[in-house]
Amino acid sequence: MVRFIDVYKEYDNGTKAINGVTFTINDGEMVFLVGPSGSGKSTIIRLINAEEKPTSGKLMVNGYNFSMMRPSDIPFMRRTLGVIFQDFRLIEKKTVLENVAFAMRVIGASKREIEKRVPYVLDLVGLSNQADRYPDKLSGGEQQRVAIARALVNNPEMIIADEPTGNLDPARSLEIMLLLERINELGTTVLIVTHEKTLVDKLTKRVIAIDNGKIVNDETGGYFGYEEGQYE
Amino acid sequence: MKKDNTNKENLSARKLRSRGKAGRTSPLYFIAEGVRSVFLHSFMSFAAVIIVVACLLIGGCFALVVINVDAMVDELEQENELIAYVDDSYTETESRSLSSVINLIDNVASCTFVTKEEALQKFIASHEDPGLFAGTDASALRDRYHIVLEDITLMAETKAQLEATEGIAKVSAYIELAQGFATVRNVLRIVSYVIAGILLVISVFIISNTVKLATFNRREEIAIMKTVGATNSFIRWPFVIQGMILGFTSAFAAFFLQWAVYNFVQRAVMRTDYLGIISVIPFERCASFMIVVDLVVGFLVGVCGSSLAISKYLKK
Repeated sequence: MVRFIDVYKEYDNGTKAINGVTFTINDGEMVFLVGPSGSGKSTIIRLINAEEKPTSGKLMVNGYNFSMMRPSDIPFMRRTLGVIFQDFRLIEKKTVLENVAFAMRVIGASKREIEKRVPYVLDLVGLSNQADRYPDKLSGGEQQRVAIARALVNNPEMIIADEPTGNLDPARSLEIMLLLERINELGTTVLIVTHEKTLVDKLTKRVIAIDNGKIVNDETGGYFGYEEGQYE
Repeated sequence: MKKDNTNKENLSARKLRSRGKAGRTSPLYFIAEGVRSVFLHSFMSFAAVIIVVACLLIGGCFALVVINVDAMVDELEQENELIAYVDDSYTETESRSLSSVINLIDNVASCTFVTKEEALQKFIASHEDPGLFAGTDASALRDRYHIVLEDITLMAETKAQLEATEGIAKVSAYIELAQGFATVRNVLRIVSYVIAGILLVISVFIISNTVKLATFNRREEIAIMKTVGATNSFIRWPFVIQGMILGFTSAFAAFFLQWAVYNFVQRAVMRTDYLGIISVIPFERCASFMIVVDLVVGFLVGVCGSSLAISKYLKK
C-alpha cells in the first residue's frame, strides 16, 4: 500500500515538483499515473522508491513510514517494490536468465531458490524459450518482458512501471499492459506512469492525473472527464 | 484484496523479501566478483599494480636506509663514550667510590673505572713503537671513568651534570659528533615519513582511480542493484576486494623487488667499502618487518582507494 498525505517536494534549485499531494493506493489495485511532462509524475516515483526525500508531509510505502525510516532500511523497503523503466535497464553482458537471477542474487537468495524461481517467472512473462539469449538479441517488447520478470522475481508487493511502453510499438505496448494487468490479477499492486491514452482507456482502471505538482483527477475509467490528448 | 498466486509453487513472498535480513551472500561470491573486476579491466589493474609497486619500492628503500642508519647510529652511540677524569687529589679507593654517584646520574647507561696505570698501558699499546714511552710515569695521568650514555642527544646535559659532580676534574666529550649522528638520523626519519606519506596518497589515488573506472563501467549494474534492494555492503564488497587484490599483489611484488634491489646494493657496498666503514644489515633481518609493512600498506591502500571510489555511488 502507498499513502501520500499532504506531501511536498521542493528541489535544492527551488523547483516545487509536488505541492501537497494526497492519495492512497491500496493493496491489489492497478493505477495509472498520468500528466504532462514536468507535472511531478517522476518525482512521485522517485519518492516512492526513496530516491528522494519529501520536503514535508507523510509518506508510507508497504508498511514503511518514511519519516521514521533509517537509511539502512531503504534497501529492504525497495525489496517490496519492483521497478520497470522505459529504457528496460538490462545488463547487456548477462543473459535473460542471468539478468533475472541477478535480482535474486542481490537480496541473498540461494542458488537452489534461484533455480526454482527464475524459470517460473520467465514462464509467467512468456520468455522460457529465450532464457539463454542476450538482451541485444531480443525485441523491445521482449526486453521489457525481461525487465518485468526481474521486477517480479523477488515477489514484490507492488510493481512500479515508469513509462513501460514508451519505446514500444502499439501492439507490443498492449501486450505489456495486458501482462501487467495479469500480474495485477495475480495479486500484485501495479502503478503505471504512462502517456498512452488509448491503453489507459482500454484497461479502464483507476487514473490519477497530476498537473503542476497537484492531483487534478482521481477516478476510475481512463481519461474520463478530460480532453483527449491533454496529457500527451 | 486479491490472493497472491505468483508464488504458489515457489517461496512465499515474505520469505523472499526478508532474504536480505535472514540470508547471507557467500563471501566466495564477493571474491569471485572482485577477481572478475580485476581481469575485466586488466590493463588498468596492471598499470595500478605497477605504480603502487613503484611507490612501495621507493618507500621501502627509504625505510631500509633508515633501518641501516639507525643501526649504524646505535653502533656509534655505543662507541661514543664520555671520559670523566677524577681529581688528582683522590686516592684510587676514593676514585672507585665515585662510580655509585656517576651511576645515579640520568642518562648514564654504564661506567667503567680505568686507573691511571691501565690508561697508560692502553695509551702505549695503541702506538706502533711502545719503546718511545719507556719510563713514562703513570702519575702524569688521572684515574678516569669511561661512561656510555643511553641517549647521545642529551650528551651536553649529562656532561654538565658530571662536571658538577664532586671529585670529577674534567669531562671530555665529542658533543658535535654525537649531535651530528642524531641530526642525520632525525632528518632521514622526517624525510622518509614525508616521502612515505606522499607515496601513500599517490597509491590510494591510483587504486581509487582504477576502481572508479570499474564502478563507472558498472554504474548501470550498480543502479539496478540499488533499485532491486541491494544493501550498500553488498555493492561495496566486490570493489573493496578488487582494491585489496591490487594492493596485496603490489605488496608482494614490491617486497621481492626490494629484496633483490637490497641484495644488489649490499653486494655493491661490500665490493667498494674496503675500509668497512659502512655496515649493511642482511635483508633477512628486516624481511619480516618489510613484508608486514608492505602488506599492511597494500591492504590500506586497496581498501581506502576502493572505498573512496565507490562512496559516490552509495550515497545515491
